[in-house]
Amino acid sequence: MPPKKPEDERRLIDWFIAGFGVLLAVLLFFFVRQYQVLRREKIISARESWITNALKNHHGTNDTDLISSWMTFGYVNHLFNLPADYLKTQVSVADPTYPNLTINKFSREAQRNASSVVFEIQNAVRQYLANQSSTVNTSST
Amino acid sequence: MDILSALLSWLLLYKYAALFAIVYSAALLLPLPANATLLAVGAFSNQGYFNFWISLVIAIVANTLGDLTGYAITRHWGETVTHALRLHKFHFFDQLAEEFRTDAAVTVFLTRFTNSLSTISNFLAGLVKVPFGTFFFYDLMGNIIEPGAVLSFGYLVGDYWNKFSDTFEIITGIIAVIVVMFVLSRISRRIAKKTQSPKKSPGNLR
Repeated sequence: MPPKKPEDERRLIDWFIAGFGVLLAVLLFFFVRQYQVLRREKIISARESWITNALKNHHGTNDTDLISSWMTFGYVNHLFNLPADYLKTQVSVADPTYPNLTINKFSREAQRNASSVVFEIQNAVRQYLANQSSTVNTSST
Repeated sequence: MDILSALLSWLLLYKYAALFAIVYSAALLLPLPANATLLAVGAFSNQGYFNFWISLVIAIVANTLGDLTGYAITRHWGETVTHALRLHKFHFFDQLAEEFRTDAAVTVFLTRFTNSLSTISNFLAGLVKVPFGTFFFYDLMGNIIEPGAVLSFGYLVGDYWNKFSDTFEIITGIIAVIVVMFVLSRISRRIAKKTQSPKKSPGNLR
């Protein structure tokens, strides 16, 4: 096969560049759409206010919807500032590797559905947070 | 369970060792969601579960080592493979090799920000025998900026990092497309120069 002329090669490259230009426009469209979704869900504004308040020490959230089955019990304890053995007793975990145990693995071992375990953990955490806030309220009054 | 969930579990269990293994494997060849993982690690640092600076150093070292492994593999065995696949008989392949050699620094640096293109460029750099010093320097520079940016973004978005994961993938895609367009336009300009210069000064040809 004879080698292509430089002009042909250049034209081919220019076509590629034009193609990538179209791809870029499509990606930008999706980016703007995604940004609008995040704005609508008020996630961006929440983060903005977090950043402006900012960089105070994190420690603890109270959004239990964050809990997922890939998390370890240790991480959930850390995330919500729970006492080390709180979830162990609430969810009846017998595995000796607790808290270095993922919720998925625990569900498999206990032959339970992962989402129902997550739900149970969410309830336990909510209960703990509610108790904590009522304790704080009582002590402040 | 999807691959990202499995990687995140692994991260929470083995922390920095898992981070090193994931970033290294992704830099070498495996199609792992390294950016999403780094985004999560940034968020974990925000929550105090990981140390931001240790994570950053591990990400830089693992990324660079992964890239260097890819580069070394094709530098040593690349020619055998291209001969076995008869790639050296294609004019396009020669052209690509020549262009890559000419534009090595820019290409190596810019492709650090483009995920999968980075792996391809490591292999190509080894294959066309980009000097080790050039490759290492620009690879390291890119690897300091890229994981730093991803980890910082994860740190800032915090608990809701996974809501931003898709947006981040789109941003990476946009950067990849811009990089490819930039490199192609440089090649196009160089070809144009080559074709124009003999016409301008035919007597000056050496």
